[in-house]
Amino acid sequence: MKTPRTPGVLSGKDLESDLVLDVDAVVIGTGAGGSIALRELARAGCNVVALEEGSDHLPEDFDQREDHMLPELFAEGGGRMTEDLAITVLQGRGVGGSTVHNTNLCKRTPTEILDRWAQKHAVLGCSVAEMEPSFAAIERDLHVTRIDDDDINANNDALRRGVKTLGWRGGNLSHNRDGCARSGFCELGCAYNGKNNARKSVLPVALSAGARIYCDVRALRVLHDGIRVSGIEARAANGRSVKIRARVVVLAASAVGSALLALQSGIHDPHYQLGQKLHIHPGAAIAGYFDDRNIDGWRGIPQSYECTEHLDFAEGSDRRVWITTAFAHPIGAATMTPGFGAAHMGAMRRYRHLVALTAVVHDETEGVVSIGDAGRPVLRYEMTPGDRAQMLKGVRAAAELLLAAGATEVAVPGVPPRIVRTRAELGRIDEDVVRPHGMPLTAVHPMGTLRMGEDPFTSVVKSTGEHHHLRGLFVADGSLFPSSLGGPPQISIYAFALHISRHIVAAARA
Amino acid sequence: MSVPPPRSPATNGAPDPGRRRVLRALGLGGLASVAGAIATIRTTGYEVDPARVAKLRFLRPWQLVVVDAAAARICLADVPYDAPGAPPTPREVQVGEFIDAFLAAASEPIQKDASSLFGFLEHGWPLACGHLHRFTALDAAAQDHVLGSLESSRLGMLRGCFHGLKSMVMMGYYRDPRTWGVLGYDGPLVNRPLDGWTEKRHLPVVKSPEKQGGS
Repeated sequence: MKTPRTPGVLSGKDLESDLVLDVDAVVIGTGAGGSIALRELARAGCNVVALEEGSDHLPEDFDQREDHMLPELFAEGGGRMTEDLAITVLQGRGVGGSTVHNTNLCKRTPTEILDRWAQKHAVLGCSVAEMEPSFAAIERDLHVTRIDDDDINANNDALRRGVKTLGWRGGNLSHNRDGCARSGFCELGCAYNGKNNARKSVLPVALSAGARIYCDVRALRVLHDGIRVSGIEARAANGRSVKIRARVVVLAASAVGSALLALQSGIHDPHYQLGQKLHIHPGAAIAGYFDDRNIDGWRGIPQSYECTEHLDFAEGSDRRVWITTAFAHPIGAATMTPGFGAAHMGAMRRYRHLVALTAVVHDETEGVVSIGDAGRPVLRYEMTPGDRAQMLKGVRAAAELLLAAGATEVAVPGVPPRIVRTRAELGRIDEDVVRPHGMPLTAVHPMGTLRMGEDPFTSVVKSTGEHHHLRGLFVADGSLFPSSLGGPPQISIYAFALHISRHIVAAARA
Repeated sequence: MSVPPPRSPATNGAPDPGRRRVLRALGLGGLASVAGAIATIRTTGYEVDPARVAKLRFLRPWQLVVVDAAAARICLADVPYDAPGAPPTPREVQVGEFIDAFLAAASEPIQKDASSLFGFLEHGWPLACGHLHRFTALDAAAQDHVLGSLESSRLGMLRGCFHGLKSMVMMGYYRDPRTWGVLGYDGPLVNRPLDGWTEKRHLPVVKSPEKQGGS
């Protein structure tokens, strides 16, 4: 094999023969959850490998070009969508998973959500007190800090101004970054290695402790006899066969990837729970034009401020909208700008004056992941009327924030676009924009599908992360979550992976 | 609950036809079948530069013509192309070639979706919009009508198809630095000196409202 670019990270493109390994444990996926599972297993002295479908990207690979990086860093080249083509679902691929392209938002799982998981979903050991050590450890590992006021760029400053003017609830976000150049290209990978992501902050520890990562290798099937797992069958990018024999298999390939792999593996599912209850946090982008000033929103930290005026976490709440900023580079902005032709280009000429917000729904809709053509995941997800009402509320609230911040015009990218210039015109943003395909929606937080809980009738894995029926099969990613979080999930994923890792280690040592 | 019901034992874990089925459902009462049949027959008579054809990796020549025609309308400039400082045309920035390369690297289901879409746009949807010629044979106004009808269709799936087409075209167009002048976008920083950029004071707006005495 060629010398790996990163010691311990081997590429499936370079395999010279089929690969067969015997290890204690194999982890599928190297994002927030997989990296922690890999690290803890390696630290415990286990012989462990991880398989990663995407490639190993180093900071020098990130050239800040959308056309180059989106296909590299996102599943299906960034083209993954719900089955009805209504919602784009962005998910990372590559060593480090979605932590490589995310915008570093760090929020703990809300207390109300943890309580609900304990009471309604019978998740044991997830109280605030019980989770505290895991959250604290992760925040230490990732060096989570609150964003300084002076680091709020013009795009986020507009949101802050809107919040202050309206007297709404909002504040600075917390991030995990050291050595940030404030280039604004977070979503295309950090060329300055300023992100304390899994690739930088977790996986090196795992590799130092003896773990190995095989990237450019796609897991095809969990091997098992119906009672316990025996390993993984996979295929390298160059076509070589990969077979890993292990007594523990950890699924950490995201709520879509892990569910797909479980479905493809013929795992006993007597209560039809595999792949069910997918949550994604659907979000809509709203544009505000500040024609009297240059915003140049692509410069600086992309997401540093949030509005939580319309967000609480009680079940059935009528306030389930999280608003933050969503500035995009040219391709993303062009795609979201409504219309086409000369009018579209006219709108693009206002790019320097653009402030973009996003209204994200803490969703109660429950979608489904299933297997499609060529083993591709199919995401069935159609927002409930309740979630559509929340989306409408969020879009209107975002428009109100933009006007309060001084926007000369707000554009909601429906067909036709709703243009609003005064608060009196907010009624133009009607229910039609939140019907399916009423406006482009994007989701970046798939969750659920392999939920934890003690009741096998309503969950897939136990509170320990181990499958109810198949010994040695663990889940350690956002698939675990029994409900939507209502905010960025990375800290929750890292923390729950750490929380259950002692059970994974015990099983691998058994 | 508007989501599909739980899988029945009969379909548990079985391959799902997924988007294939949905795209086939674009039929509008058999229109797609007719359009598909026409598309099979009417894939000749397209004039394409042989040099461009030789480089194609996924698109068939007639599909390249469809992509070129759609991109020309979707990315139409708001000023005459011969005006000083006018943006480049989609052909100049090789939108068609970009989409060809993008699809060549895409998964098979996405490739099939795209092929269906191009055939439908060329042969099926113009007919549904009342035009008797294929998309690439229509004049600019009629092409805009066809695209606009797709964008604003009452069928969500058709609007989704338009969005998919637009996304590919926009990626092909705005990836090119020659288009960034339209936006005032100064491009990647990675090949430029970071002198001063890392200083917070160089950000466009840096003072919090509190420090400014409120806003």
